[in-house]
Amino acid sequence: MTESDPLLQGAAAAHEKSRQFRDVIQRLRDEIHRVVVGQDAVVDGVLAALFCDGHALLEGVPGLAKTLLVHTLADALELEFSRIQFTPDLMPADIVGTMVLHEVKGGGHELRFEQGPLVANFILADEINRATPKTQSALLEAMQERTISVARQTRPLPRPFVVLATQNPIEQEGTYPLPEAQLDRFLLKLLVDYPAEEEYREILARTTGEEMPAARRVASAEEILALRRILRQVPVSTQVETYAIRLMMATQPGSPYAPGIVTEHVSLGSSPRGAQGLLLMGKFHALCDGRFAVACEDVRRAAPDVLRHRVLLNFQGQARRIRPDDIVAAAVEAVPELSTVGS
Amino acid sequence: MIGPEVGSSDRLVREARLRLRNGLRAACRVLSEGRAADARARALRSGARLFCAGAVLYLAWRAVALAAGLPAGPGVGWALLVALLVAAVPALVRMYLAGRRPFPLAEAAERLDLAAGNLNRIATALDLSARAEAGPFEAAAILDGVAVLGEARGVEPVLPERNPPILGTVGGIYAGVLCLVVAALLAPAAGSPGASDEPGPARATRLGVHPPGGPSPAESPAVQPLEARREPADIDTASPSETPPTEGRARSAPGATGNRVQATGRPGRGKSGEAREARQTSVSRGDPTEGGTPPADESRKRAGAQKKEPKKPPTGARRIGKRQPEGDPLGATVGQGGSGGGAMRPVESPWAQQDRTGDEPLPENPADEDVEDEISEDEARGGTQPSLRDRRAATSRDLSISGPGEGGEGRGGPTPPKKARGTAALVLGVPVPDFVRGLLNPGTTKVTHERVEPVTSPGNTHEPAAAAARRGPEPDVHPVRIPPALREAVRRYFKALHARAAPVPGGSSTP
Repeated sequence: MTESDPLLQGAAAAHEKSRQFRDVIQRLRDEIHRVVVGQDAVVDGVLAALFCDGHALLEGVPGLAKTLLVHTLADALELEFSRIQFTPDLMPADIVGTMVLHEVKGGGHELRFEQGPLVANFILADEINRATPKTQSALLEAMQERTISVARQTRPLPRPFVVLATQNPIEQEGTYPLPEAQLDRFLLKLLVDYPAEEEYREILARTTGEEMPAARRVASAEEILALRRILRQVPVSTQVETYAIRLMMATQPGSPYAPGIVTEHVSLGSSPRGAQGLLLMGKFHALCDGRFAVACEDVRRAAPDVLRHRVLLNFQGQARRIRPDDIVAAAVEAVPELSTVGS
Repeated sequence: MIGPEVGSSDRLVREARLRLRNGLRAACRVLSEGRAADARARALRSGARLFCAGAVLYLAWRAVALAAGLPAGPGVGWALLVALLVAAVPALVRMYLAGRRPFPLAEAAERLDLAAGNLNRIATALDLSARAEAGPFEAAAILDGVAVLGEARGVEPVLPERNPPILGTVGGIYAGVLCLVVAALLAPAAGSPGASDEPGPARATRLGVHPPGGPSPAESPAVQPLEARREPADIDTASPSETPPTEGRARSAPGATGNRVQATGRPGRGKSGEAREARQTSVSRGDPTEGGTPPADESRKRAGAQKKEPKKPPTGARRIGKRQPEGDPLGATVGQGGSGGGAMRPVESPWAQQDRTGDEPLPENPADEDVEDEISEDEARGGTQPSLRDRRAATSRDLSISGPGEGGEGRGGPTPPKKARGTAALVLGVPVPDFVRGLLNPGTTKVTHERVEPVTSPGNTHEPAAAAARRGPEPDVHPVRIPPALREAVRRYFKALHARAAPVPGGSSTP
């Protein structure tokens, strides 16, 4: 093979694209970490949702910089940002928009569409579980089809369109848990944990000083869209595809790959969106690691964030305080990597 | 996509695939050898099992032939064994050939990846090289896989899990040999030149071999054929002497009580009064070792009858049987266990003192006493609502005058006049709620009201100001939609209108 061979040229192009992808990711990471201390996994998860054309649900107790993270990411990107504080009295029209009667010059009136805060690139749905299911459901079409329908008209939302929602796991009084259809539309559910001791020092140093750090813009919408296209070019072998499918099926009670804990404690497993999410996240991890194809390890790495909110425990599972992460771990343990084993 | 661009791309992909295949050949060889060894071991185990099965069949056939007195030629069993082995040959050959097949390349790549920790790069490259189109990432992945395969040259792939069949093989062979040895021990009786159609026990007696469990010639005064010893009447009434002493079953004579009452008992374990009577008759009739075993059906019938009978009222015979031990102490001990002509004294049995007849009432077990189900109301409610226990309907506040009567529970007719309760009771028709309907749980939240003086918040106040005058051009006026045909006429009309209405600079008007 010589340098002019198409195979080598293609490989060189892939190398270049991969490097470009990693550069942007690293720039965004650095910019976010200027404001947010630690939380590397959550930052990576939010970036993955952005580049995989998905949405992310951040769950954590108050004060762990969930909202700050999303706000910082929006600052670092040249995207239209919109923040919606979900409250019990929020109505669908408040976020989607509604038809408003306008007075026209020369007399007369006409109905015009007054768009809501949902029409933006980057949506922060803060405390999403505080709104009623009716309002939560207004997000369904926007999150899946990237359109909104008002007054018999369907309007496309700007691209990229990413919803990053936050919710608090402990204050459940007066909240409305997200329905399954809504949860399934989130590519990832990220658990935000407490920082380490050293990170606390850094947090205090940054936030109690004279000036608060702020993020600069390091990427544009066009760049994000181009990187999304690169991510989708990453190939997946038959073995890895089979592995992702079996892993998704292993969370479904009654499937041939489901371990005992799933059959006993799960009432509803992952939908096909789970397998889609596994592969997309696998592509993201492969690119970030400088590889050109997805490996089973990438799928395994993505499994907790992608599958934990798609597993619905039954009464027995809840009574025994089984966590969805335990179910996902058991599924990962049960599914063999070899495509010929267990088929 | 680079596939459609240049034709040599396909060639290069094929070349990469060839390299992958060559590189994986060593791994395939290792895996094939392992699989062949596994297939051989499995074939050996299957052969051992077949050998064992044939030997067991042969032994069984020998035993049946011995018992039934059939002519037992030694060749039959061997023929059976050979037939089994011949039938097994195709299966064994197929199993062996399965181990000789080449190992699938994709699986070899997956196993090599797993062993080398390559993150599936070799298997991915192999898979992508077989696809029709190769994009930039596919090309990079294929080249990456080829490079990784070169690095993993010395790595042995992960072998398939095998169940070592050594134990099963050796065990099967040992079991088969054991069966053959036992069959060979049976062979002299069955396969000797003097073997005839004579029944087994009789032949054994004639040859001086005692059937296992049977009486020895010294113990039995006269050895008779089984059919000769058992007459139809005996079979029907089953004399107690025929029951084996170890089982101790006895049946009373039909004329003794008028009923066919059965009794069971081991030596020293009498079951009923009839058993004692039966024992008295059976003692004179024979040696306990002579006792024949009643047919299985008969035993089952008896057992069934015994299960059904204990609740029958005691008969006279039973009463006699009960009273008899008082005058005859020996009879007491004998009668306790004297069923079926048992020679052993019942007192020798450690269970003799614990035996009782079916008619005696069982001692009362304190644990069997009927205990009323005590279900507490709290338990019935799951213990979650203890405060509901005392909730009763409130006393009626009906202020209507009712007639004389007893009680105020709402039953038994009119109730006596209610007492007046306070001033409110004097106002007819005004309900006085003097109780609070169940406040089961006040809840975890508490609302407190705090009186706070209002404080003026700091901030700049904005004074009202007049709105600024509009600047800039007038906005566009919506065009009036006029049909094109009328547009010229309308234009001329408004032109003329404006020309008339427009003030003339200088004071004169235009015509």
